[in-house]
Parts: sequence; structure tokens; C-alpha cells
Amino acid sequence: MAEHNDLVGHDFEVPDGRAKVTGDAKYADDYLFDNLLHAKTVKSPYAHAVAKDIDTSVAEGMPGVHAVITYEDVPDAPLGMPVLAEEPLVFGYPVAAVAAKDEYTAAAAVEEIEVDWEVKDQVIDPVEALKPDAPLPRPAGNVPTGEPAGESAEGQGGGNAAIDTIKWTDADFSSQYPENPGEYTIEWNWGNVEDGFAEADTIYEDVVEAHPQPTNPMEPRSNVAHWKADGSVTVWGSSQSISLTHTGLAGILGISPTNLTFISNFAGGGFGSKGTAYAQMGVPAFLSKQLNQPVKIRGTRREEFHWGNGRTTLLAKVRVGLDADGNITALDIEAIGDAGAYSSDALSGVSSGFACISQCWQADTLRFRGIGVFTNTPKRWPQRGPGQNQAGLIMSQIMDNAAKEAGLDPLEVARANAPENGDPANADQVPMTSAYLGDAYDMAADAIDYDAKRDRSGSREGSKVYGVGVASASHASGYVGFDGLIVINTDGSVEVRQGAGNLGTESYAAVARLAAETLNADWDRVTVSWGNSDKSSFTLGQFSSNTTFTTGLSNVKAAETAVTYLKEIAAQELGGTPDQYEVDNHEVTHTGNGQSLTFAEAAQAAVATGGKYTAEEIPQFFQDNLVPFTIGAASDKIGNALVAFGKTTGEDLDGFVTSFAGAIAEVSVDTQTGKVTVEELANFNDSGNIVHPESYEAQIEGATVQGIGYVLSKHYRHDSDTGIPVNTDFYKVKPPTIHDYVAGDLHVGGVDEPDPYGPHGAKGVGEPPYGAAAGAVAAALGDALDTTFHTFPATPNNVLDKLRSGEVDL
Amino acid sequence: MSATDSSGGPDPGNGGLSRRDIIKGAIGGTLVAANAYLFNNIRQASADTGDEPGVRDRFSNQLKLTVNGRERFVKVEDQERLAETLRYKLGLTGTKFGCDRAMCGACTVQIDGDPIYSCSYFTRDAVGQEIETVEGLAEGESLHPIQEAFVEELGGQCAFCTPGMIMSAKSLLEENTDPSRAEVQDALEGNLCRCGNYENEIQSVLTAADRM
Repeated sequence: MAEHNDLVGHDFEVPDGRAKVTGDAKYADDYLFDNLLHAKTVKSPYAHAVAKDIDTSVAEGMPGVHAVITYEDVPDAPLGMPVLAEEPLVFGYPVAAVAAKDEYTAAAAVEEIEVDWEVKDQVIDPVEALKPDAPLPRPAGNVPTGEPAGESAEGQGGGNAAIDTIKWTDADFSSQYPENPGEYTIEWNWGNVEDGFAEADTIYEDVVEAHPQPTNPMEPRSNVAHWKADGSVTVWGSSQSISLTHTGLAGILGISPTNLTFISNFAGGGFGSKGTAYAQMGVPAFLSKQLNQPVKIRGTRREEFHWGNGRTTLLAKVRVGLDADGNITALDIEAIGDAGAYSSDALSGVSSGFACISQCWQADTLRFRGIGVFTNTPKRWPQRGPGQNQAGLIMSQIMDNAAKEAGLDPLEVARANAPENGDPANADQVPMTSAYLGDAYDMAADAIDYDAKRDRSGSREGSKVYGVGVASASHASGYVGFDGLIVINTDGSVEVRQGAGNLGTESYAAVARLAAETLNADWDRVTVSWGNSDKSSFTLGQFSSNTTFTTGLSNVKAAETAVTYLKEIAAQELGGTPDQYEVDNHEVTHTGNGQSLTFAEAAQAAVATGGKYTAEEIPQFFQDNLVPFTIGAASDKIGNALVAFGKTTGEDLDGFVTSFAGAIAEVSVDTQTGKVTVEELANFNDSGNIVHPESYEAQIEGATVQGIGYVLSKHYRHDSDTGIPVNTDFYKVKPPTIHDYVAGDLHVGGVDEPDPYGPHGAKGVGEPPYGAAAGAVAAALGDALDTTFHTFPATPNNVLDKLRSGEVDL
Repeated sequence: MSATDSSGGPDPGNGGLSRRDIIKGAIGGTLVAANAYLFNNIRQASADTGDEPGVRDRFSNQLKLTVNGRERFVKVEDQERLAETLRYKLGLTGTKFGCDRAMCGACTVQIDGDPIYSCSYFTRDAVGQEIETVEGLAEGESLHPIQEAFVEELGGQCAFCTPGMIMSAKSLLEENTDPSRAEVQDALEGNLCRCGNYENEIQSVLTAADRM
């Protein structure tokens, strides 16, 4: 097959571009229905309480109220989030729900529902939760145990871990990180760190907390469910994923996925928080089950703070040893993560953070010990680089300080410990398939003129002090074991029926570009389906920086199947053998005599031949390996189009696929006002070959904005006496506005070196640049004031507190 | 004042006596006395004042709105906000609810050319004003230059904020055809984008300005 690369690496008009600018794009709350009912919920006004009795009688009798359900009407969910809870473990969690003719009536009915509450003790701080006399955040204990969920993709499942009680009875809690800590639930090491420290010329130790924050995508989680009398259910939801949300939601509803259609054409942001099915989807569904009428719950911004998810706290004590050249001889890290009230994401957050550090900082020896803890705060769930980006924030200042203590330049130390192709990652020291973090650092240094920035570090201009910082982050970015599906219709049009969602990253469109590249198809005649579970080949969710690799590769496999079929059909129709044909320009052509079939003619011949070419017979390999939904997604094309399946089995994948970002930031700190300004920032990715340059850059820019918001402004705040959140509005939690990111130039780009296993050399993009940006700003801030920020965000108030603490010599 | 409080109905037209005629008749009769100031208000409200909305337009539940150049009649609740009316009564769902509290700008529409947060604007207050939403920009298949630029420059990621961004940009470019980058930032500062896609949003507006 000719190597064209006509599509990969070039910009194109995205398939959903027009819909996004005309108002035609349909988000979950944009579908209009006849007989639609509206749901509202009764929420807990306490951080931890039990609903002893719920009196719904008045509400049920109100005109316009169609149904009232309580926790008794929904299935129990031992560790995950129940749809409605008997014992809400966080402020704002619902115990009952109403369906009424309109939102006003539903809201009025909610006011008429009386709940008899038994208020329980609460705890909102993860360190506090480990103290012997602290209350238990959950009835069954204070820690998630069991198998650490590993990288965040698995963490999206999150429900298999058990609950236990672990107290650090002998610890001294007087310092930020407890001295003499007790039991950890995650532990692994490379070699013996004490041997490594013996080799070190410089040993540096410090404590940094990467703080928690709400996720808050623009679109609150609205959902519509129609549970019909025949038992079939359709849900229009806001989700990053189709395949996993479809099956996960069927689980929440207690029905077979074959009875559920899930539709999500556009998701108004998710950043991990809408990665898979979530409990809120069950509220309209269980109301609709009683009424067989469509029911909508329009998510509100307030609810997003309570029902949505947040970033896991990661409090880490880091001890690092450097030799005279800046190589890390030993890295010893202890960490405490916060799961919030639900799920086990503290475990995957801690273990993902550890994995990221092992990837970005190639140490001779290392040891990781960590524990996840429950608190009565909103559920923690993967948020764009869950654990990895906390690690990026934590490690940057520590390595900056360690380098300076060793008399070395921080960039030089980062560069010296950056991974190369085949270097080990994670607990099992599996080789990384490609790693060009060092090149990313170099590109960032060139773009921002690092030496000039380093020269200006510490200098003053009026009340401003300048600093520069270097950071990195990484994320696993490719998985195997998933399906692809390509249809060539008898008119020659090509459909890529992929199963990723439409989160806004345009990666679903990149999947189609990759498949079309393999097919050498005319892009104008390729369509990509998204948003409907009935037409989705089964894939992993659209999260974990994996869509480009995971869903891309499985659909490239489907395209390879299509190419094989096209050649076989051409040989059958025109003579010769399949290997004498090549597929190019939307045709299959004999390389000798130039005879050819168009895709339309080939598809017509496929239909005439039938069998495997039209999925009337499913080849044994696909019968054995495909998820049945993938075959179902082809059902309307069986016998009337060329149907090609793909499956990634991983047998040719030798290693661990990881993406990286390296960033350098210059900040100024106004010592009179405490305001931190990011003057300039450079952020470069190693994400394999670049598929779609425009969206690649948009991902890095967006991640940078979010990373800066994380380190400088956004956070959860809860009243420690009551556990009640105090900043549940945008103007209080302060996500970055258009004025709040980089004052000067924001340089972004990519190394653009291929991953040997990636589809057309590509890896995922979205998550690492967030942690790299946050870390670079944090390190630059510490550099400007020649100190360590142990807590974040670095709001003007917190910076002024630091300046007045006596720790900073101005 | 019960005459102005009633729920109203379709205009009786030429075939019957309109409410306005009844009120005018009453005012012209024997009732005018010590409470004349009260009736002066009614007289004012009832008078046909050209472009100004009259009693029916402002106070009956059946309102007449001008949306994207078309007259639309719609029945609203007293507390109904313009975003609700546009989305759920008129089917114009391009205008989004992002926060319900005038904090994010996803609901931005133009009222007489000015960008406003329609989540915090009573529908009743929009009577007699020109309401423009994102659905009103394209002419058939032909996109408005701002929309075109947002497609080309990838101005939307998740794009939930995009309609509001476009409406704020439209108001800017109608007043300032050659804005600086800083002026674009100022014009879009009331529109939050959680994807952090600000660089592309700014570039989209600058590209559109070049073409307008």
C-alpha cells in the first residue's frame, strides 16, 4: 500500500464544526419532547446524615406532580454512588426525587417533602480521617482497600474495592505530613532506596499538597430518560463516552444493555467527570420507569458542585537523592489521597501519581507508599490527569529545590532524568514504547528562551519579582482489546462507526482520519458516526488521553480488514491475486494492468458475493474476539454493504504507551498585592505523530489554562465544623477567565516523533500538558520567592500569607 | 387595576370590542374624578405610542417577542427568564444554561444589539426589544463571518460556551470593526470557557473582524 499521509498531520474542517456555531448541536438538555416531565431532587443539608423518615404525602397530592421516589425505589450501591441515598455522605446528595409537569412545580413539591434527619459526625480532611479519634466518614470505614485501580482508565470503574478502617494510632499529626505514619494500602519499589541514598551527593526532602478542586464542566449534568412500557429504555445524556456509558448505565438501571439505547451527541465538557455512567442518570430513569413518560433532570450549577466530581487531594512527602551530575539515585515518596465520600478514586489517584513520577523521573531506585482515605466531601473521580497532574504539581518544586541545593540548573536535572524509548515505567518496570520528554523540554526551552528567563530569575521590577520553573507530566495513552467497524456503502461512501464520545477534543474525528488514511479514502466521502450506542463499535471511554490510540488503532484495524476485502473482491472481479492490487484514491487498482474498481463497485460486488464481506458470516476470529455490541452496530448493514471489523488484541504491543509534556513558565509575583502573573509559558507534548495540528494545539492550550487555574485559583472549600461547602458558585471558585492565564506568549507544540505501535504513530494528547503547566507555574513561583509553597492554590491571599510568614527573604 | 392583570387572550380583532376600547371608554366616562392620577397611568399604558409596547404586549401572559427578526407569540410565567422561553417555548436551544446565575455567559443573547445574560433577564422585560440568538446569524446555508471563523479556528472545543461567545463577539464587532486582541478579551470576559479554549476564541474573533 502506498504511504501517502494525505490526512494524518493536516488540519481539516471537523464534522461537528457547523453544528457547534449555529446552535444545532444537541446537548442533553436540548432535545424537545411531547409529554416531558421534569425532575428535581430532595437533598441532604448535612455533610453526613441518615434520612430516618421521608414524608412525601403532601407532595404526592400536589397538582402537576406525577411521581415521587425515594432511596427505597432504587437499587443499593455499596461503594459507588447510589442514585438516591438513605445515608447521604456529602452535603447536597439527594434522598428523594419528584417528577412534575414543569420545573417550578417540581421545585415546589420538593419543598413539601419532609425529611427526618439523624445528623452524623463528619470529617472533611483526609489527614484528620486517619486520626484515632476522628469520626468515620462512611459507616463501614475510612479507607478504600483492595486492588489499587492503577491507571485512571481502570479507575473509571472504581467500584470493586472494599472499605476498611485504618487509623494511624502511633503517628504524630503536628506536622503537615504525619510523622511515624501507620499502614499504607499501596506500596511498591524499584530496588532499595537506602542503597540509592547512599550513592547520593545531595539529599532533599519536602512536603507539598496538591489540593482538591471541583471539575465543573460548562454543561451541568442534564439527562432525559424514557422507560417505555415494553421495558426498553432510551437515555439522552451528557457523557464523554458511548460504549462504557451504555453498559455502565444498564448496570445502574438493572437492565440488559440490549434494552438500552444511549444517546449523547455532544457533551458540554467533562474533563473526566462524565467519563462513564453516573448515578444522576438514574434519577429521571427510575421516575420514568413508574410513568413510562420521558422525564428530564436539568442539572444546575449548584448541583454540579455536589453531584459532580472533583480532583483527588494528594499530600506527598518526597525525599530525593541526586548524584553530582544530577541523576536521581533514590526517590522515596509517601502520599495520602482523598476519595471524597464515594468510589475508590483516591487509590487510582495515588497509584497514577506514582506511575507518572516513575515515568517522568527515571530514578535508579525508588519507593512509593500511599493510602487513599474517605472524607465527607464530593466524590473524587478522574479529573484530567487524575493523580498524574497532582504529581506534576508536587514534583516540580521539589526537584527545583533539590537541583539548586546540588548546585545544578533545574532544567539540566529534569533533562538528565527524562525517559528515553524503552525506559521502564510503573511498579512492574514495563518498557515504554516511546518517550521523548527530553525533546519536549528542549523545545520548550528554545521557545521561551530559557537562559534569559533563568538570568532574570529573582530580579525585581518595582514590587514584582520574577521566577522561572520547569515541570513535566505523563499519562498512559493507549489501550488494546477494543473494536472498530467500517462500512463501505454501495454508493462508495465510507462510514467509520466508532464508539468514543464527543467531549470536544475532536478525537472521535481523528479516529476517522486515521482509518481513512489506512483506507486511502477520499475524506469528503468519509463520515464518522458518534453519539448513539446503537451504531458504536465497542471501545474504551473517551478519557485517559487514549482515544487517538485506542479507538484510532481499533478502527485502523477495521480499515485494514476493509483493504483486505477490497483486494480480494477486486481479484475475484478483475482477475489476478489480491496482492497484485492496491487501494488508493477511493479505488482498488491492479498494480500491473491498471484495471480498477471504485469503492462503490467493490461494495456492490461485496453485496453480490455476500458471506464475510457483508457480515452475513462473521469470521471466526471476530466471533471469538469482538464484543457483541460491535456486531450489533453493523446490523442495519448486513447483506447490503461491505462491512469490515477490527480488533486490537495487543499481541504485537510490546510495552507501555505513555504521552508526556514538558513545560517552562516564567511568573512574576507582586509582593504588595500577592498577585501571581504568568508572564510567558511554553508547553510541548510528546504524543507521537500529530494527527490534527489545530486540535492538538487546542488541547495543550486548554490544558495550560486549566493547569494555571488549578495552581493559582481553583479549590474546594468546606467549613470544617459542618462540612458544608462554602464556594459553590463560579465567582467564588474562580475558574480562569479570558484574562487569567498567560499575560504574554503561550508557546505550544509537539515533538512529533512516532510511537512504533500507535495508529500512524500517534499517541494521546490531552492530559499531561495540564500537570506540566501547573507544575511549571508552581516551580516558577517558588523560584521567584526562593521558597516552597506547601499548599495551593496560590491565591493573592495565600501568597501574602507566605510573604508575611517570615519564610521569604525579600 | 384588574383590567391589566387578567390573563388575556387572543386579540379580539375588528369583530369585537377590545379591552383597550373598554378602558378608553371607561376613562372617557364618569369615573374620572379624584383618582385621576391612577387613570392617567392607564391612559398612558393604553395609548398607542408607536414602537413602544402597549398593555397587551407587556402585561398579558401572551407576549409578543421579536426574535431573530420574527414576531413570536408565547405564553410565559411571571418569573420566566428569557433563556427558558427561548429554549423550551421557542425551541431555540442554541442559548445554553450554564450556571442559572449570570456567572458564565453561556446564555448570552443580544437585546437591541447589546449582549445580555438571558438566564437572568425576565422574558417580560424583552417585550418590544430586538432579541437576537445564535440561530439568527446564518442565512440559509451561509454562515455569518463570526461563525465561519469559529469553525475554521476551532473556536469551540466542547462548544457549550460557543453560542454565547459568538453573541458577545457580534456585539463587539458591530461597534468596533477592528478590535485589538485586548479589546476582544474585554468583550469576551463575561463568557467562561472551561475547556480553556480562549486562544482559539480570541483568534476566531480577530479572523472574523478581518473579514467583516
